Amino acid sequence: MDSKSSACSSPNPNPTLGPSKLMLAFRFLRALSLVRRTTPASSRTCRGRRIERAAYASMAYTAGASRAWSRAVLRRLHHRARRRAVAPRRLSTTAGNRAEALRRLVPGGGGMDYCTLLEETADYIKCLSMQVELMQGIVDSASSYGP
Amino acid sequence: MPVMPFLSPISLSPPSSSTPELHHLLVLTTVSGLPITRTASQAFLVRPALHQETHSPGRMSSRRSRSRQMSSSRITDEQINDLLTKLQAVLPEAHLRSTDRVSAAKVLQDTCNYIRSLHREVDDLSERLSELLANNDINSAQAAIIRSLLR
Repeated sequence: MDSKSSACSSPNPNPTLGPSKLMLAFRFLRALSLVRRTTPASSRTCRGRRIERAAYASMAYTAGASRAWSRAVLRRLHHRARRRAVAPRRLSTTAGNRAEALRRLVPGGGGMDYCTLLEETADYIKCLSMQVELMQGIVDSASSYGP
Repeated sequence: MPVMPFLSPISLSPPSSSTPELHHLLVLTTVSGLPITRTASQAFLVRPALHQETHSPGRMSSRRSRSRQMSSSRITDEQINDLLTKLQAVLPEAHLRSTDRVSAAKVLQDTCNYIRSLHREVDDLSERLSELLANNDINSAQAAIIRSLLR
């Protein structure tokens, strides 16, 4: 605890580590340790899928409920926990129904108008790249630490 | 939303009608002067709000949708171009692109490709993390990670 606080008080040479990145890191690491505790060591693909879900969950929780894409991600994760039925897609019939490929990629994209879709996509890409950066950093430091 | 001005909510004493729709129909048939029996008005319920159809809620909804279309066209191309520029700024190699005009098709295509590549990376990194969790001693690895994050 002391070493952590002294590291926080000293000037941070890594300028890109903002508060949201730190929140994301703590959430994701906590989820990782939970996955390791609860998943049997033999089922590797199952653990991989759980880690992927933990990544999207920690990303969505860190983004908060103010974003439509994060709400859609959490909705999808919670529904998946209850039942495996695929919800029928709600087709957007309003004016400005463009960019169908993008709507399929961004969570919750089917029900948005074009302008909201563009805004949500920008935020989604920011958070997604942050998550990828975090996971890459973990993989790098964990593999460099090993023998 | 009632479209008939003569349909007053202050009810005439309703005959033993149970449903409000039946009551409304009885009221309007009474006001319109049509002699009508209860069973016949019940038959009207099968095609509900027959009068409402002729008084065109279609007219009202087209008015509504016309105003909605007018308000959506107020979202100008300028705004959309602005949003596309902001989106392009988040994509990789944003500094290589010209800032004055953005081609919507290119930005959308690049965005889709980038999101797909990010999804693939998450998938791949999840698998690698899964292997790392199995092999390493997690406590020392986590300590190393936290130390590297806070450095």
